[in-house]
Amino acid sequence: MNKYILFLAQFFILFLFWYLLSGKNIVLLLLLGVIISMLITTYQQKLKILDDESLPIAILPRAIIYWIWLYKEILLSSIFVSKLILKFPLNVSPKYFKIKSNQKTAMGFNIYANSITMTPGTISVVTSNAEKEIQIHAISEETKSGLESGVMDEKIKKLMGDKDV
Amino acid sequence: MFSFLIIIITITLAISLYRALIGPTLFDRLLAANIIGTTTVLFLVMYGYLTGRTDFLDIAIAYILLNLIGTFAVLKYFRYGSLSHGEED
Amino acid sequence: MDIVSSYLSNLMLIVGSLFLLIGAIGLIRMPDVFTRMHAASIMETAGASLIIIGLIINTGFTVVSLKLIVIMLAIFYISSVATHALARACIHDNLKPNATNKESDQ
Repeated sequence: MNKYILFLAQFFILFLFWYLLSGKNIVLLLLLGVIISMLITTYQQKLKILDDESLPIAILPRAIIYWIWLYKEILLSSIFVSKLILKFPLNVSPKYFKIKSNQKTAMGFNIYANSITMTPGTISVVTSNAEKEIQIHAISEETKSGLESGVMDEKIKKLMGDKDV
Repeated sequence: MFSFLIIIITITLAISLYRALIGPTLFDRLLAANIIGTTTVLFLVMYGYLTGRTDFLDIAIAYILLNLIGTFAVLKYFRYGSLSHGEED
Repeated sequence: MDIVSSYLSNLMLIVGSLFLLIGAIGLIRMPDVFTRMHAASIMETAGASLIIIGLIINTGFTVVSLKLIVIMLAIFYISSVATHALARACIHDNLKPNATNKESDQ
């Protein structure tokens, strides 16, 4: 991504946050917000921490579609775990296993592990980026098999595209 | 509607506090403390809506960041033994 | 239109608070730390996000709803990172999960 586009995007995000927290349309406050956002963004670019990995706006349109899918998945598995909790003789049989991921990039692996933790019913416990391997604690057989079918892995691979961070 | 929700959230807070009191291990207490933090954020938002003062949302944003820092500080202390320790392994 | 959005927001608030209560019951009933984390993650993702989406529908599109969206994204991010850190600290402290088919020794 072009560095000017990154600069503008970061400036816009910071200024939006400033406006969100102040919430008043006073010229002095808005001017101060512009100056401070500009200073912070310039400093970040001087430190060379403003790159494709810290601000991934290239995958943003696909990420919104992925988030909607993830939210649907979160609701479905919440209903599943709720049924498990409210069943009267409580019988949970937790599983602890390892899973391989075929993500190419570190960011895709990170998104995968976070999505696993965010979905109720599965928690990623120990991750290792070198071997692309996650140890997972699942609450029942169904969530385990749902994870092993590899739908989420494929979705994240499609989300990352041919990017090579 | 909002007062009904405030009652539900208070019941949830009480149950989480009970888990924090009886929790057999340290990590049960930490988990309960984390839950109490998130539920308090929801309580603040709901209280702001109930009284019609949306300034409470700013307090909620500040509180959620404090919640994250607090959990990480305790976890780091129990992993390394001190707060000023660097990353090793 | 106004009535529809009001009913929709009330429905979402009620379902969200139901998820909060179910997660709290799970926090009491579940047998060990790792299974309690699953119950906690219901409260932190489904319960909190449904309540906040209900409030956003109630408010309409203003600065207040943008703040609510920021709070929801922060809750999502913070809950997943804190749960992962907690689980990893449990493993580090030699607190093994009692699973039925443990394949690894780690």
